[in-house]
Amino acid sequence: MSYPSKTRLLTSVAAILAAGAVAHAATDIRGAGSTFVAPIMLKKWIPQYEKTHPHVEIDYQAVGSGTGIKDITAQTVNFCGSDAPMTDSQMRHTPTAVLHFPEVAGPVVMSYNLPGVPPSTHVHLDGKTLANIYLGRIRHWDNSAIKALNPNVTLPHLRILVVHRSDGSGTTYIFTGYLSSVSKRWKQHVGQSTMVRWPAMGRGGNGSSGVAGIVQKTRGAIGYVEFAYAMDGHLPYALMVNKAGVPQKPTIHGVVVAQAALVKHLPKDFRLPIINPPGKKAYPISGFTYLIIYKDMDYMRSHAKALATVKFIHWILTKGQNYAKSMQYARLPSNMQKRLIAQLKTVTYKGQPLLK
Amino acid sequence: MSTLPTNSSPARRQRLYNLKARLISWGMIIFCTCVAALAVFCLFAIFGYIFYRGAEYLNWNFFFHSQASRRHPSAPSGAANSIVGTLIMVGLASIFGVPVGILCGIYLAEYSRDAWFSHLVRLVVDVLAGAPSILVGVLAYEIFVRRINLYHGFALRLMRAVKMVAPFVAKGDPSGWAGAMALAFIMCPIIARTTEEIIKLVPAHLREASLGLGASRTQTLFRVILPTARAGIITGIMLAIARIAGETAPLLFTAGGNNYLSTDPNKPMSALPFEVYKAYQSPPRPSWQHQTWACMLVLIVLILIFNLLVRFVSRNKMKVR
Amino acid sequence: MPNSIAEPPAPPSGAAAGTLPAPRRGLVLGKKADWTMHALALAGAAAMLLLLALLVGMIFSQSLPAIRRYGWGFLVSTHWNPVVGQDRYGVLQFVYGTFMSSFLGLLIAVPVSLGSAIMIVRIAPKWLSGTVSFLVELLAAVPSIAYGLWGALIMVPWLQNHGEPWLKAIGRHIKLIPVGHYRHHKIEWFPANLVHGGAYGADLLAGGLILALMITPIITAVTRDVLRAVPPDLEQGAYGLGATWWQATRVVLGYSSTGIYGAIILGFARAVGETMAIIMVIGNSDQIKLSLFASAQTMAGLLANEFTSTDHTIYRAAVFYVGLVLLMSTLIMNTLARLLVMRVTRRKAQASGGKRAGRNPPPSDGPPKTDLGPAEAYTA
Repeated sequence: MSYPSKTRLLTSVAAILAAGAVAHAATDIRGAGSTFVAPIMLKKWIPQYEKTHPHVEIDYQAVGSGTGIKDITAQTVNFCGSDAPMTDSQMRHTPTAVLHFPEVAGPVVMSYNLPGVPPSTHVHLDGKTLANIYLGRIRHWDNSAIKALNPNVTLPHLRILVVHRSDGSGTTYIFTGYLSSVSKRWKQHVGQSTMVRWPAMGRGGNGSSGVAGIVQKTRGAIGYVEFAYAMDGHLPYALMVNKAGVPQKPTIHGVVVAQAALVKHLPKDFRLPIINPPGKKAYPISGFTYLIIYKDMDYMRSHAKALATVKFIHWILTKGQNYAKSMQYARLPSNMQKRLIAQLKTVTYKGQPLLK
Repeated sequence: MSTLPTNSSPARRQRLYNLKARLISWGMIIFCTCVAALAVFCLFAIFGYIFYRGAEYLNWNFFFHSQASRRHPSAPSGAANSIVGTLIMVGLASIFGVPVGILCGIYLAEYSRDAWFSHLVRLVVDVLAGAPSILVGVLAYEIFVRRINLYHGFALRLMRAVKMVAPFVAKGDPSGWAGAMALAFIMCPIIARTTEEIIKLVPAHLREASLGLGASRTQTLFRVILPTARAGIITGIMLAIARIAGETAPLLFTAGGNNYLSTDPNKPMSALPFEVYKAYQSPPRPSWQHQTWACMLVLIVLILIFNLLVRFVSRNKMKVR
Repeated sequence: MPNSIAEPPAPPSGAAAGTLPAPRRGLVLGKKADWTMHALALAGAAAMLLLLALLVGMIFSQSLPAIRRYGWGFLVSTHWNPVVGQDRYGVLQFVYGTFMSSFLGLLIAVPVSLGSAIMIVRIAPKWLSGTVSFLVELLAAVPSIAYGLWGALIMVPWLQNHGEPWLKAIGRHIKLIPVGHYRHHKIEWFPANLVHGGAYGADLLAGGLILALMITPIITAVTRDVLRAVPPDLEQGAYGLGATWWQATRVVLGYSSTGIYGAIILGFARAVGETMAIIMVIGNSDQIKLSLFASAQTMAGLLANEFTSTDHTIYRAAVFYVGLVLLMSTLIMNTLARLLVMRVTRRKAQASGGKRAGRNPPPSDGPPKTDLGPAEAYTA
């Protein structure tokens, strides 16, 4: 007598599904991408914005920058979050032109695991040494190059285990960009990309959390992670010697200074990592996290949806910036904000600009 | 013992042989028990850890609130959206995957007389069972989400016309349907494979007796073979459901995820393993860590409850054995 | 589907082998029903063919640019550089990582799962067998991401601090065959080189262990069902001839060998295609180094890691080419396994003289003839 009950089960499942399919009138916007921006996006920006705009429903999926870019290219989301700007070849694959909007910025932190060195003693590193470590030319922590930078630290004789991202990542793009800018050898043999051929054999971690996990548990490991992963995971981190020759802590302030120094050099489409800026207080490796949308929003097939998306981005660029500091991000410099809003005004729906 | 006369040698060899056989036998009994204990120990190590980490973050809010809620933006965040999403998508996947899988298994075990064709199908099923889930996810993505290259003009109109029958041919966005279909693709070969193996083990004399009593092939199938093989088939289905309920990769592109509670499979949907993956990838803030472990625990408990349910249902009917 | 099924008939135990229940009205299934059922089953099989055709077609068409540019050389090259302008791709190291880790997994999982299945079916008392088999099924229900997290957070640190140093302390002294030289002219010995290198935990060994953990319940569950379906007269016949427990078990194992091969193939296929758990523990680096302590990367892991970051055509095509190689290698493995099973079945058929011996051999068809069975021992 089992089959009638199974039929009943199917009927009830169908009934539940039918009941669920009741539409609601709100304008829903979908975004996907960067995990780095997820804390501020999900805990501050979206709830605060929805409070004042009750007819808008925003859903952001923190599935990683790569997936976000894939989704925006296939036009299955309305906006994408990415920790690296899209590359030229990626932009060639999109159906129409895209626009990049930096939202906030953050440093890339070199964290390490050195038993015997207390976490309050930060190891100092400079670009050349870091490049040589990642090239596999410096193999031990007590190498003379590292010793010269850290005269007051007793470094153990320990193999360095180089840890990198195993998945394609905006952080890798920023980090390899920095290494390319400080080391000719790196530029020649490896280059800058979201995914490179790592010359030194180490370990690859899946996601920043994977890298942080390996560094945390492996003696002698060094890896690059975004700010939040090092801070929240309580990992020791290195001070990076900047262009002016001063070892600098990865801080929000260091990034703000770096942004201010580079803002004049920012290209028209804002696609530039904040690498090696001049200034004594600037931290040398950091980058914006971007929000990417289409310039022509016809594909959304709804004026209301396109308008809501643009208005949400406008809010992030203005009022939303006030939440940055409390969530450990660097806010945008004010002159850059103006340029971004001007860019936002070029977004169109059926040929008409959405914002005036 | 060398003093024994040589004509007792066969008997001695016999005794020695018996002793050796018995020793080996006992050794194997001990070995089998030990490895079974090891397997159970691993289970407790993994389950224990997940329960230990997950239980401290579980509370009622977790079940009755979504990750985000439009009406109550400040409400505590939970996983109602992904629990519902998992249930709906696995349910939909089973509606498609179980019958197709069982039919294919029946074909392989009962009807496959053309040798080359059945060998081909068997090979195909094996290859599909081993295909990495991410590729299957990409296939479902190409068919149900992107679709731009697949349906043009007439085909697209045809698809829209059958939309009433097949709601998954909505416009090309990630949706619960796309996720469910990706899961169904993964499910079919697993079920087909186990069904075939189990049906083949039904002793031939049962089948022959039934046919000899004048039953038709179909009667024999439904009255003799399937009931006898039922326990094994149900195990196969459970294995398949357990497998798809925990799949992350194929949902990444197809289901899309949804922080709000949604029961409409035409819209993007979230699932528990998907949330675990997202939370694992996020910065190690305490709230995200809680999400990881609590979701994992709920997923495992869901599968556990489901297993118990199926077991209970099938036991009531299994009066024999 | 018929809407009613009567009391199931007696199982092979033959406890209550009665007549079939009288066919009900509306369920008198004649030729037409037979035909319909055959067609339905055929449709199910055809659906599988269609699915694989779609999958292969999609992957092949996407990987065409890479196939055109690299051809067969892709299979033997170990160079993987996706940076724009430096593009060069080869798959060999990922093939190595995939098969090495899966092989390691099988090496551990097959004895454990066969042992567990035998214990469940033939040793344990009823209450225990039910419990253990339920627990094993639960282990099969744990999602792979849970294995991955557990592996990365618990197993890898343990391997790094305890398991691997211990293995190294023992293994490095076992020197049997010289196979080559390290730098500084140190000789590389065969079993000792398996534990060469820094014990960091995230490596092939960890990958193999996690795969073993994942496929053990699958192999166990299927083997258990296969063993349960063996007619008890087989075992009783063996006992009647004076066999010990293990000898009778071997008769049972021989009878169900096809099903067990099937279970192992299923487990192997799962290991080869496993993605989420493996990328969390195997260390993800593209190298071929014959050591358990070397990190590696699998083909499925590469797909999961790099699929979303493919930013130019040839890179995307190369990633899909890896997917194609993965699919083709599962195809080849399965064909080989199937040929093996066919040979075993045929040999058995010849031995017993019956055409369907693989399915239902006479009980006297005991363990393989390689050793002196009890029956022969008595006549010797």
